[in-house]
Amino acid sequence: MTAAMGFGVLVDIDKCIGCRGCQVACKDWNGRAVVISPSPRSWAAPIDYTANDWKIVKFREGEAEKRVGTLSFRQPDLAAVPLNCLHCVDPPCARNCPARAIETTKEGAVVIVKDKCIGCGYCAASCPFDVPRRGDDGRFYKCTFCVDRLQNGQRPACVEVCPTGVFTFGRLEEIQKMARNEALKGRSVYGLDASGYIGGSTRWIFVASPRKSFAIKEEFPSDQKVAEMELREQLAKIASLALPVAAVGVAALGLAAWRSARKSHKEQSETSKEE
Amino acid sequence: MSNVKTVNEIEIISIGYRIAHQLNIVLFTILAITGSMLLFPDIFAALAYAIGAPLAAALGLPPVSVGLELARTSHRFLGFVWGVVLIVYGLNLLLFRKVEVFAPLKRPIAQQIREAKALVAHYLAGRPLPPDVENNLHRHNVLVSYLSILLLLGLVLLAVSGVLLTYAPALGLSSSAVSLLLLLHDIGFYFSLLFLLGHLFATTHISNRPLLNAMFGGGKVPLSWARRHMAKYLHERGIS
Repeated sequence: MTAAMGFGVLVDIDKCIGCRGCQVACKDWNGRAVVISPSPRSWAAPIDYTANDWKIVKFREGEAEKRVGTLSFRQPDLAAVPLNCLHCVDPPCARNCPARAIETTKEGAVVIVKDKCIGCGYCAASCPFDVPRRGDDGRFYKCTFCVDRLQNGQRPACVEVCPTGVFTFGRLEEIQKMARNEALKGRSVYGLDASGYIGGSTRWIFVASPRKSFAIKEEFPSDQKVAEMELREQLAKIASLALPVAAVGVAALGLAAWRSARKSHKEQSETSKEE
Repeated sequence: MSNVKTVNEIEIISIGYRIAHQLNIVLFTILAITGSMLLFPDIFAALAYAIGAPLAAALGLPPVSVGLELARTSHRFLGFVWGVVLIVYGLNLLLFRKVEVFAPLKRPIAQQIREAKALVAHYLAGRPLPPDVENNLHRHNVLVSYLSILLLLGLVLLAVSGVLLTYAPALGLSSSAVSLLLLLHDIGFYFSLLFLLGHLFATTHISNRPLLNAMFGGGKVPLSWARRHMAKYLHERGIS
């Protein structure tokens, strides 16, 4: 699976009014149970992903520069950010899953195969966006990119239902091209030219005008990687090669020592025979 | 006949030490294999399949996943069993002042390095030990002490991270804390594997065959061998 293959979505934060229609559509299509969340100090409910909430809308407050005619001033602003799994091009959750329970479909959807999941949580530990969540059955759950809809020629449920057209769905190549054009217009883009840890790009790419760009800065990590898990992967690669080599080396040294001892033992016994 | 044998041999490995060692071998081996199944899933996929296949049919789940689930569950359970064994044995060593493995580290560092170099040359190239080094050998030599530090470091990392990983959901640890614990657990495992390589080389070395026989036999080594390998230890105990 390469970046050129599969689908992507451009998420325009400026268009989001925070209605949470996408959240409801996600729950409805995927048959997820209602989660009673404690009253949060935010308009977001729930305030974070759960095993049953794969799509959430968070609200971020920040300061934005505004202009009226020639007058320029800073003013507090609010941005609604619709969030779900970003479906990385090279998902670290899939690389780190020992049961190989996370697969990237030909549509580009990064999907947890429930029957294969052993609940180890390595996916959650390796996700830079902290997406997968443990369910009551011990297994992990997250957005599926509505892969069942994609495979039947439909768009994801959240994309379909959005009343303000926040989401632009298309082939990833086209989405990336659109995102680059937005960047040229001076808008903030998140998900393009990202860390190699996630394959250089996400399939859900976020754009925001300078007015709402604080939401991107606050919501997403700047380096898109989990350093510990990246190091862990590298160590495992080195160990899988170095340990067998070291074991063979130690065995060879032992054999050489045994041969040398045998030789000197033979020489000693021959000398004592001659005497 | 038995009197003659007693005179020519000396017990250097007690029955308690041997039981603890044999338990360590079994538990470490199982833990290393079950852990490696999760750390190197592609290399151990065939083993996971073989373990999981008998139950997979009954559960209606993929054999590899069932094998890994069994490995993960047994890894966690046996990790605790090993922890209990180590705590009991460690307390026994500490309370009865039996920790001798670090005795060579009390010497000046220059002397330690000289002993280490001489031992390496002896084990790898068959060179005889200089008399001053040979006469100053404790029950455990300085290389054993260095390897023990590596093992201790590995065990501490494995134990602390292992317990915290097992209870991570109950303790409400964040995923970033879990990723750090996973890394520390892996590093602890690599340290213990490095220890194991050194330990296996030393104990299977031709010149240490009596030691191997003692560990898996009656715990005794010929006095002549002990004089060459632990002269100072014998001297301190008034055995000549």
